Amino acid sequence: MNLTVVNIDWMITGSAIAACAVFVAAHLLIFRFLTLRKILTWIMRIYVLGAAAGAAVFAGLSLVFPTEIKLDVFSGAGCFLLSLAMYTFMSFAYILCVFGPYESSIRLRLMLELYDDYPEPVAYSDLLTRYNPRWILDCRLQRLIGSSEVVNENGLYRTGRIKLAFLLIEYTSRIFKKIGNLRTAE
Amino acid sequence: MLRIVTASIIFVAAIFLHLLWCRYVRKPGRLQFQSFFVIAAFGWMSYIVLTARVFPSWSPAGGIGRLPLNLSALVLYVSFMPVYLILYASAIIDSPTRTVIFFVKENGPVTYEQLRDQVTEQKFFSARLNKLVEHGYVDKNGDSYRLSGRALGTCRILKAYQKIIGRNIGG
Repeated sequence: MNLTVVNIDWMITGSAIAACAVFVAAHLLIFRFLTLRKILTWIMRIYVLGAAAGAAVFAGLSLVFPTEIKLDVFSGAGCFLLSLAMYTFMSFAYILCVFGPYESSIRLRLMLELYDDYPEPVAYSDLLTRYNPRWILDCRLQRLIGSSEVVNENGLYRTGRIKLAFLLIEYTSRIFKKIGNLRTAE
Repeated sequence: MLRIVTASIIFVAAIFLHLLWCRYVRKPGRLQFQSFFVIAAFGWMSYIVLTARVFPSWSPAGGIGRLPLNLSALVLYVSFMPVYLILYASAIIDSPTRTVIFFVKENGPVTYEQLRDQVTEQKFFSARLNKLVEHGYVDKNGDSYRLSGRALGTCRILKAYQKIIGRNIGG
């Protein structure tokens, strides 16, 4: 295999992984200081930070590994866009699969509440005093108000600007539901 | 780039196959992750066969379109998987966030009490707890609940993540 071809493949993948590493590191550093209302805003901010880091790494690797292949502007931009797409999916996967469940999964929270008393059992009423539907609703309202998806005006809640990401997830899920004839479970 | 497009098309085909599998070989109330992993693995094997047998080998004259970006294709293919699985799961599992947004959208403006009636103990609390019991993560004894050995590993990982991220678990 031609070494220069391998270099381009590594450059694209390497810059995407580096961008994702910056995204995760920034997330782990910054999110300990954030309130629920600021979560979505900061996810977007550190996404941009990761993308900038990815671009810098891509440009740096291009200088370190000069290739025999002449990449014109469009080809170079194409390679970078591919790297950006990979970074986007990786960071999206991290948020959806790691941070998302940690921040909003009811089951994981229930498990951790029981883990705190392990191996002793916990009465249902005790569990309800520590974690309950009111908490579940309040957390979601704070996040939704923080991202301006829901607006609180004089104690009344109305829709604000629904985020494109939410709509994408919602409508893609609906398409999957239709094709797979999936039924909602609790 | 041809290989990236091919890997993406194969992944979309794997999604369709998985959804058709769910449609016709259904196990009610169960998320079918394993079947997806099997289908996706077959998809990647078909990519390997396709790129080795059908695609022309790269030459400088072929330009960027024919660059053999196999590593990039693999990383992209693997990154698609968790994203799909979460979207698939969100189609099945009812979420309180979605309930709140759609209730506000369809009935707004609404009061806190109206929202409180939507996020009920039965729907979002005891139902989830019962699912944990059903799947063997929690043991139920009368009115008390105790974590089972099966869930300990997950909880230890969560505690470690909690230490690293420095914020309490949400829920």
